[in-house]
Amino acid sequence: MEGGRASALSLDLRLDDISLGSLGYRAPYERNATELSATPITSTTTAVSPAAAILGVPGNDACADCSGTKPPVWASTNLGTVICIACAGVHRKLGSHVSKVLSLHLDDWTADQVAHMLARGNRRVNAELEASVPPAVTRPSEHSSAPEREAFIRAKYALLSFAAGGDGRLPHVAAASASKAGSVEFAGVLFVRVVCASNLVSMDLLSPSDPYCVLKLAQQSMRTRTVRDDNAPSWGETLSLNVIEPQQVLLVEVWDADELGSDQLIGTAHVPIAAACTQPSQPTPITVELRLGAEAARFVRGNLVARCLPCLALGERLGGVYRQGQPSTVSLELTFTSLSGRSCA
Amino acid sequence: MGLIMSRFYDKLFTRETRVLLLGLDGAGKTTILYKLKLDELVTTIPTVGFNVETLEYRNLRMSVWDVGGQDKIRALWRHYYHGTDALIFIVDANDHDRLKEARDELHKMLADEDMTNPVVLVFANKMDLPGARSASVVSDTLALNSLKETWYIQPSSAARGDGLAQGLDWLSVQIKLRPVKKHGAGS
Repeated sequence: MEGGRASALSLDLRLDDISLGSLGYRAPYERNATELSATPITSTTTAVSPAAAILGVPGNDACADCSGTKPPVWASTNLGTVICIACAGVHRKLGSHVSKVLSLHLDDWTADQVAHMLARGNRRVNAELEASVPPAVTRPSEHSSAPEREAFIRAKYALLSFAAGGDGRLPHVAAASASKAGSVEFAGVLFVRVVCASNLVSMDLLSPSDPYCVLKLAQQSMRTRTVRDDNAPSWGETLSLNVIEPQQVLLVEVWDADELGSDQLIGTAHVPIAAACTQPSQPTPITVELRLGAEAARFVRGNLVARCLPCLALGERLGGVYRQGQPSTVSLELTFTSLSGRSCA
Repeated sequence: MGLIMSRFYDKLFTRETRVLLLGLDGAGKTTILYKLKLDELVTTIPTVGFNVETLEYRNLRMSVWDVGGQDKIRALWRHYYHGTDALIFIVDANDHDRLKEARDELHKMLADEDMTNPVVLVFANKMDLPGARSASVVSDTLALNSLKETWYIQPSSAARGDGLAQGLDWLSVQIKLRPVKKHGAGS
């Protein structure tokens, strides 16, 4: 055993910047027949990005359907309106024959799509499709429930209830599932390469630990595989986590896997991700010292009495674990990919 | 002892399986994931990021990864290929204009060296919509016959819950026929 080595956990955080234009132009796909001959527009070929141009159209400062105050960064390319992400979810439910939804920031746009958006816009479209909204019908707001939004949006676009000559009726929409699953918007994805750890404490009798690493960010938890009998494991494994905001702190845990009984916590570390988030797409290497778990700390301090059994104490000595005060470390590489429109505007 | 026996049983009979759920934006990936997980029709928004859930199905314990489908999020898909046992590729059968785009994405990901011969289940989804193409038309347009992987196409409607169980039945049989893959990444 390498008694003198620091026990370290290395992580590699990469933040891939997939903001507008960073990937360059991708071939336009056949979104519809009229677009086949379209030339692409990207931020590299125009002075003003498609997103900025589209958001400058009168009425495009708020969602066409719920008037939400956040900048509407989703669009219906055939209807020619910009909408918020919640209304975009409802538009997609109508089917692509009614509304074709794209993101202003996360999708590639063709010149024809942009031209259509510039020619339409929320004000013009709403003047037509909300020409005769009955007084009894309340437009949804940014706080409206999903069924409220869906009833209005279905009536407006699929049934044309509020256009001139429309019957003004709202369709019946089934109550929404209580689950919030699949309805969180993230700022980006963090890829963490869990490189290795060193100088881990042996938690097992007569043999080194069987370590695996767990990463926790908010409610998410991801883990590496278990490396058998190794107090300096090399995982070399990349895990991904959704980032809600860059001020989050990554919790790193190293555990000893046990076949029988419960796994034991070897140590933990807290890694702020802000630095990685400010350098999108670039790996940020970090080596952090593990704060030892209660059991592991006892070994390191040599307080073997805590383990009761003399044979166990002997085993720990034989396993080379009894190292006074040597820090355990983990090495990581963090890479962040931004998915928020704000960072690429 | 009960715990030990149940762990032993799990090790013997439960197969850990890594499943990727991919497809163009708006194909229905997240809706299908949560229909399978919760048996509910959840209200989704476009997935900006990814979702992952563990599903138990006929002695398979599947970690199912659903990554957003927008053009620029597709650049992240490749990070999830390694160790994939099964690819579930979702196609909006009602979105005729983009079937060829779906074909290109499917063939591109299967050509990636990190994607090592997964079984491929294609859901021709949104069959409840009147303009949906048949599974055979979708199959032809996607050029599934040219795939070297084992594949199967299943018409489905996540909104109605049709076809999903049949697809997973096929998948579970195929997975059990295969040797266990060594998993290098993910949880």
